[in-house]
Amino acid sequence: MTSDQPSGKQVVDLDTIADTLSTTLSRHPGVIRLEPTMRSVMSRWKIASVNQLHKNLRPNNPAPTVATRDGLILSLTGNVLNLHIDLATNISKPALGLARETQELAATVIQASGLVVGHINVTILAIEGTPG
Amino acid sequence: MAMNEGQPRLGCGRIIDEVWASIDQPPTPHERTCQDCQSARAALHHLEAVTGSMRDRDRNDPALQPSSRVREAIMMVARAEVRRSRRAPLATTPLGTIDISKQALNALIRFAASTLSGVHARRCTIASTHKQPPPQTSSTQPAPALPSPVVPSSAVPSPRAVVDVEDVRITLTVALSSQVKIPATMALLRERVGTIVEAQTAITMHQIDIVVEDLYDI
Repeated sequence: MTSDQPSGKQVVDLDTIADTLSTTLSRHPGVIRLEPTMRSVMSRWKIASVNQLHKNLRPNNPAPTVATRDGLILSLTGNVLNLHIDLATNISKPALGLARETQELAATVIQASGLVVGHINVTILAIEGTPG
Repeated sequence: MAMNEGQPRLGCGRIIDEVWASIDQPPTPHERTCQDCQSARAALHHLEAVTGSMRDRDRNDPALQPSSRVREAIMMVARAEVRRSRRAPLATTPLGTIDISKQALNALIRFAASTLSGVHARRCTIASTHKQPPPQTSSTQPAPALPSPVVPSSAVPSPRAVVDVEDVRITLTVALSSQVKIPATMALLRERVGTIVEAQTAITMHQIDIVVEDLYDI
């Protein structure tokens, strides 16, 4: 006998969402790059080591709750995804407006992945280039 | 108690975790008389000594040291991080906060100055009152009740000085061409810097001091 009630369980592949966010945001006009920071680099190494250790010790371990890419830190609590973005922007576009666009773009990606959007904080780390 | 069910117990009924929890303290009256607890304490002390010695050996093992490439990559990011450490909050949207590094603001000001012919921007210092970082959510809009994110300790932002965007004062050092009229150029320069910074960041400069340090093309 099967139930008509949908299961509340959800499989979240945080790495896939991180990759999608990285690609989508990097390609957005005006974004020069997502800036790696000490925080994102060290987090990535730490998370990779811990995940590998857990994979070996406990293959049935639940999915990781934090993922990082250059300029991105994603943290998942329940089904709420919080995100920090570090940006280098092109001077041809207003940096503040561009930061708002990246917030909205990221929110769209998060919602499309079936998660709830938490905080999306953006830091503009560099404004580069010459006006077009 | 139910959580400890299934764990191996010492002959006296205690579990090994209880012994480990107080291993750095003197033995309790029970442990002074219980053979099982004394054996367990001795074994745990031995384990701690062995793991400590392995840890020390790993620390000096050349095979476990990061390569020069890895070390250089860390240092490169760290140096950039230091330069960007101070930030100015620009806006709080319903989705979260937006801020800018002081270094980016500095570069923007020097870029704005260099768009005027006859002006070479040299150094720029940004002064303002410093305040604590703003809360993570809007003060004008109630924050959604979100659970705290689970973030590794290395991913938690450390408290950093924040530039108050309502009180930004800059001092810009420039070299001018001898062909330009200084008072008129200064007025134009102030206007240009203010316009570009405001267009990019919505920051309105409180004060723009300009020091003409040198003349060229003489």
